[in-house]
Amino acid sequence: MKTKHTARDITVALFLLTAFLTLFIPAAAMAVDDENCLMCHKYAGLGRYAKNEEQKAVKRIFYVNEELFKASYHGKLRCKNCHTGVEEIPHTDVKNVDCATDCHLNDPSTGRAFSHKSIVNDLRKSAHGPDGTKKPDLIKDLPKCKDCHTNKPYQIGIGKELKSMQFIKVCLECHESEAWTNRFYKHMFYRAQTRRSSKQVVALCSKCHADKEKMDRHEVDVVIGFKDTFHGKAIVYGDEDVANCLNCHAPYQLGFSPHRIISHTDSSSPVHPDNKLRDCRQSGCHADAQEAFANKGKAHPSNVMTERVDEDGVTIYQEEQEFQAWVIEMIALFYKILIIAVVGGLGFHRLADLYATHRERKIALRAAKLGRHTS
Amino acid sequence: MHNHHTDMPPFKRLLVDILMASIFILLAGFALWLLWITFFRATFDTGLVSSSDQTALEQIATGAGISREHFHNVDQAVLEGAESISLCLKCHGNYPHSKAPDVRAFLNAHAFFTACETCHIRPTESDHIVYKWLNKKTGMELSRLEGKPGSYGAMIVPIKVAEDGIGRRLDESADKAFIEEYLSLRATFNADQQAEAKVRIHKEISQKPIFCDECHTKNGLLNFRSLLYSPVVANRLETGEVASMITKYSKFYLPTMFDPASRTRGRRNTP
Repeated sequence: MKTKHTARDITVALFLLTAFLTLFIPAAAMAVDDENCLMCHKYAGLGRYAKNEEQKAVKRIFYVNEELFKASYHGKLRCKNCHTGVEEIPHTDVKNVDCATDCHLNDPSTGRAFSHKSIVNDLRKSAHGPDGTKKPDLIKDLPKCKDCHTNKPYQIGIGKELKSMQFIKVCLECHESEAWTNRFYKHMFYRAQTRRSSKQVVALCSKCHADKEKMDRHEVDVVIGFKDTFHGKAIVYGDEDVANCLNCHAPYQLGFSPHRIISHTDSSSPVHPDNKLRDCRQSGCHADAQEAFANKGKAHPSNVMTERVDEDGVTIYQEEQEFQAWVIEMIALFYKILIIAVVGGLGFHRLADLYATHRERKIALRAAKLGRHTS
Repeated sequence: MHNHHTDMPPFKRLLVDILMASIFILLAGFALWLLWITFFRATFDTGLVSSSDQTALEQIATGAGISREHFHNVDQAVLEGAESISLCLKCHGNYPHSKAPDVRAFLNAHAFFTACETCHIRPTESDHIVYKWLNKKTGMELSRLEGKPGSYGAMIVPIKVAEDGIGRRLDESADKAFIEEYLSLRATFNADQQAEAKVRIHKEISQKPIFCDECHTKNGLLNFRSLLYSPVVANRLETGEVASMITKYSKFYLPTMFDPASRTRGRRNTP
């Protein structure tokens, strides 16, 4: 009996000691890589070159920085939650990650398994998805989730981080788990910020929409002229108070989303001629805009010709585009000549003035010498 | 006004000349800046890389086709690892292994911290070769390993010790001048000339490289303790999870630089 007591006491003591020591293990260390993927994926050089669909060499990097991953949006997930079907080493039959997979996390708003399924479905139906594109035979051209999204770490900034830490203390008055509270707060705080600058948004969209070859394949106008507009110029110089692509084509304020972008010819599109005025007036941007402002001219004119051929083989919009291209070309030419003439004239004037000064100085010196001789 | 200028004392006149020249330089600079922001300033970096005219090798060498953003965030370790002074990688790229699907990524991971010659020069019985961690920039031997696994700013380098005790780094080819000349002229060489040059360039390289299980085993080619690993890590590399994992790899491919025709030749590492 006594022995039994001793064994039980030791067990309880060990349990308490373990529990006590656990308190001192940092949270990061507790979130162990229990699948042991990092045994290999911690090596920076883990990767290879592969050929993409266009037979171009593309570097594939399989390295994962543990710290960055744990601090990222998906930092709480296990690798296999997304990389499903990876059972063997070496991985020979790895499927592409499907963002519509149900996660092993519960959505706190519904209690159900969290998933990006609804967004993936929206994207499928949009102009960027296989069900919404005009060219379903060119699916390989369409953007995938990863073309726009990366698994970034929550970056709040040191100054704001300090304030956050103070604020989290308030949250912890009710919420017991510090790790959960910290993550939830960072998520909310980070998502409340603008994640991409307007310049980054334009660069992202331009990856495809400035690619004339690709746009021609999809019979979509190539967007080259945006950088020359008032909006484009302001964005280049860092102004965040002007409209970027998404502000007009997917304004959240008007109930649209970047995942639900549709063709401007669709009557429900925010940039359809019937809706453009509302689009321009949103968020107080051009609150007093009138019909002529919204629908006369193009928001981002292009001086690159795109050929559109209708079902009867007739090139459409050609005349209008030719004239617009000619006008834009003439304006650009005028300014080029003006700048070269003004700047060049300025330089020529300065050089001529220097030459005149030098020549007059020489004449004056010669005259002075002559004067001394004659006197 | 100009006559007045000539009446000035020389020193004052010099000052005026300097002032005038300065104004001219400023205006010229302003004009050039104006031209630059109007016509040449980069606007939106679309990340588009025009690589259609490049060969696959050139794409690798110039980094074309590499995505700017990685879903899991590429950090400095990847960028530093890819910066190599190795002559081999000038042709073979930073991720030189591509054939064996089972092991190519692992072999490339090793290429970040192991000189090519470590595996691609098989010592003969008479050779005295020691393996050391050498700093990538200074060439100095490391006294301890600091940093993340494999990212110590150094490489494992084989050093051949001669009878007089003088060591020679095997990753530094004695034929360096020839190799560099070949790299600059290879486009002008025909196939036979290129093959001849490649044989000379690779003369020290063993036809049969060293395979995983020749190092990741007890008393293997590399002494992991001498290579500054802790006993725990050394055990893991010799007999632990790493060693047990590599027994699953079955298919390896021999380098084809000596015999470009036999691209399908392989070796079964395990019976």
